[in-house]
Amino acid sequence: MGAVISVPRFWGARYRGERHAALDQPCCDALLIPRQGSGLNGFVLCDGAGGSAAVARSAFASARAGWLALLHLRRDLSGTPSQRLLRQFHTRLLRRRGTAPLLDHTLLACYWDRRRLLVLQIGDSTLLVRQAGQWSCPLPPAKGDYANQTTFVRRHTPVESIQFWQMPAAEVEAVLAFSDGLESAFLDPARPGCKQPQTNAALADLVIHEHRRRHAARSYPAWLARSLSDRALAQLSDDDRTLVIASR
Amino acid sequence: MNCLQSLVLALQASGQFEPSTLLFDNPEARSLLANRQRRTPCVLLLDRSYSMAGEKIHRLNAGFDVFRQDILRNPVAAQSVDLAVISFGPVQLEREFAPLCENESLQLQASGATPMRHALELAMLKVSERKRSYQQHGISYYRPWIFLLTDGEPTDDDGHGSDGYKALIAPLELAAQEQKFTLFTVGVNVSPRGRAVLDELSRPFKGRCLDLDNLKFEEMFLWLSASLSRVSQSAPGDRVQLVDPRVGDDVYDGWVL
Repeated sequence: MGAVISVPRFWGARYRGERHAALDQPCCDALLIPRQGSGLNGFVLCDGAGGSAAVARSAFASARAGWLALLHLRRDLSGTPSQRLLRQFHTRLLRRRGTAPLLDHTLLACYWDRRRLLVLQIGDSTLLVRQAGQWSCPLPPAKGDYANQTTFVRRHTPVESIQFWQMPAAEVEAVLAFSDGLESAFLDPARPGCKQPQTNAALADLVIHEHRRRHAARSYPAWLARSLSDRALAQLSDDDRTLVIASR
Repeated sequence: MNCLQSLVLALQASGQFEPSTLLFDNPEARSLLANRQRRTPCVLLLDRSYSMAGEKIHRLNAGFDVFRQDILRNPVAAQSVDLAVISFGPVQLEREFAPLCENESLQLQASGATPMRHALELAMLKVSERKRSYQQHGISYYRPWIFLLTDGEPTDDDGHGSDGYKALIAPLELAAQEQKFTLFTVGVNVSPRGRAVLDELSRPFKGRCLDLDNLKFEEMFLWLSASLSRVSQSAPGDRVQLVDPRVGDDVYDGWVL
């Protein structure tokens, strides 16, 4: 019998960016992390484009619906998902949203159980994975030529815009996911001839180190959220910022 | 572990002690976050031909100072806006691409003709080189701007009237189609023919010659500063709404006729 593999839970925080705060607009990053004790371990992050309350509601509706669609996909999945399964994920996501208006937002959905780490991505929210001491970005942010271009969840999102990645759970040491507002902090764009973006591995290590040290404290989520208000981060982007962390 | 450390850990675990040092509020994180801004490249392509002598060139130089100071007041834009300056009397690269904090005042002297084609070619070359450099160094960037300002009609290097700029229309159309950069043209008391040339150059970018109203260089540069600041803070899906340059806003008057 193999050893039982424990899976660390995800912690996350959102911060309303300075631009939205100045205009009295809501935070349009939506983050869903199932409550502890539910037996489910993952998250969905939807980053709304623009600053209206309607965009924020749309992103929250997709975060909830995306989680349910992800659970379905996980159940149906054996091996690598076919285009049919990815299409089903998208269909279920839209169905579960109900009548909520669909406004522009991205989606990053992740599930980590004892078998594997599953990730689905539409757009430019992304995650770093630490494996054998090395950080990588398995699903680079979907970008156009410039920093302010990406793809969104749409009624007719092409299946090739739905990115999927998985790896055996035992190989994953840590996960660090973030919305576009933190992209400059953790990632550099891919260089010519290289598909993978460069990671700010030293910063990712620093975050994980502090996470391991502090996450047992009851005040940890509030501390993490306050940390996202840091002026050094604000100088990189005044967009909403969301950070999700899990580490062995 | 001493008693104090044990107490802090126990209080942390119980949620009664809130650590004061935030995640990124330390010298190591600060250094890891330095110089990671997305860049907003812009080339100022400024006519300093003889006809710009006097008040025009004086107000152009003063307007540049206002632009620089206004960008530096915005911490995101100050780190993001990457500016090159090319002047044309004779075509000259005044400033290589650099953040505004590294750009000093501009002291252009009026002389020479209006070799607009060569100036624009150099601007396009500089934009391509800068984008390549960003890519090689893994730097994220926004769509570059070329901001052309002139008071005359295009000439060759010897000062003879020239239609050589027409050779640039096809490359400009391609650049607009492929979103390689955005071109703005500003006419300073230009003749109808000069305006027609600027209209032709702007058309691929769905623009037109912006006629500067009464030498309002300062207002023009404040608009440019505010516009680049907006671009430098834009996120995917944002429509970057530029202030109508004919109207202006609370801070500056309109500057386009």
